[in-house]
Amino acid sequence: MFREKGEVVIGKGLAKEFNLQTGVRFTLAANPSKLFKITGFFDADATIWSANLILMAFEDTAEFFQIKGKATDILIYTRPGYAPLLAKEIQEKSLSTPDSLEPPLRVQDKSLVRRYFERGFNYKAGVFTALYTVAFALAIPALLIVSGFGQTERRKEIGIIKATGWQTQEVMEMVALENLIISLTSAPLAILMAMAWLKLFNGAFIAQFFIAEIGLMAPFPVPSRFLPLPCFFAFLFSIVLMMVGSLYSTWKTATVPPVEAMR
Amino acid sequence: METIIRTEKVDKIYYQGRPEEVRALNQIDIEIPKNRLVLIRGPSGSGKTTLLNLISTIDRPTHGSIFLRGEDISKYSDVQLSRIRQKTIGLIFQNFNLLPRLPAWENVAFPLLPC
Repeated sequence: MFREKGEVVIGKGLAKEFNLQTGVRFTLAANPSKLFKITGFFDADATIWSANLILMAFEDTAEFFQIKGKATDILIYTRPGYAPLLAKEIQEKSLSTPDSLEPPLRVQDKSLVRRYFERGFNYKAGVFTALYTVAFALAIPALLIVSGFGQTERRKEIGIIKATGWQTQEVMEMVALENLIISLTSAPLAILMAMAWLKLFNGAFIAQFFIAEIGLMAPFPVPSRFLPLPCFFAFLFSIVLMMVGSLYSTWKTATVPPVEAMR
Repeated sequence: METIIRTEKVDKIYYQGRPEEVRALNQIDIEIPKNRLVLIRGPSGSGKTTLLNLISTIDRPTHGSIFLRGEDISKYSDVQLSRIRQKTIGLIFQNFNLLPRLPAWENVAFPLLPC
């Protein structure tokens, strides 16, 4: 793969970050005496896997980390179908000749790595979904508040209610109840929107806020899993936002003379 | 005859201390006896509505006192004034001030709700 000593292939993310070109020589702070030369760039479908990668020869790695003759991870290519057999063979050999100074050898074949990968992503799926749902749950009341939805009408309404004899506390209770109803409605709405956005559009545009460097359109199916917790989060966050956004303004309106609020 | 509403040197100044200051009421003294129909007349901008707003407690005077059945309500708290509006005084607004999301009968019944 590498013709000369010190040649490396680097991830596209690194190359972009440091504006590196083929042929550039560099050292790394961990061992400045070791000189590397860039011979190519590594690019994969998902940039999260390849962005910060530096691929080099085994000998160079051992020299750089000053652990000559030892490797922490070895990747072995086999003929199709032979991977599980070879993995078993290596594992058995390592068990028959244990080295007390080294940690036990762990052999993984491609299918096992795939299972780990899926399990890891499935675990993250719950987190991502919670985040998407919370994002939508916050966005709905935030839009209503920021856009000043019905603010003038609302002020007038509070003025009229106060003029007919309602107490400030009763007005606050009414608004709190309304917020509760809106939050209870927006929680399932947020979940439905998050579901639709993930299933129909693969989390387009918003997935990049939760998974680093995947761009506007994710190049792989964005993981998703829907659990009761996101629903609870959606309700909790939307009610907090609604309460903070509206109770103070309501209180301010309700404590001025009603004629001012009605003006 | 018993006086039900009395005002004493009532002033109402809008935008006080600002260039656009407006003195809507100036040292108003009136007495309204019980069981009497009283009409307040005057040209537009003379302060009729402002006076009614103050008497009906939906606005506060800048200076002076308003007495309802002998009690100075101009010093009342927000809670006490709400109670007066709920139990004692009825008011029909010039522009009706209806709640648009409620039907007519609910607008009429609305003040009874907190009772």
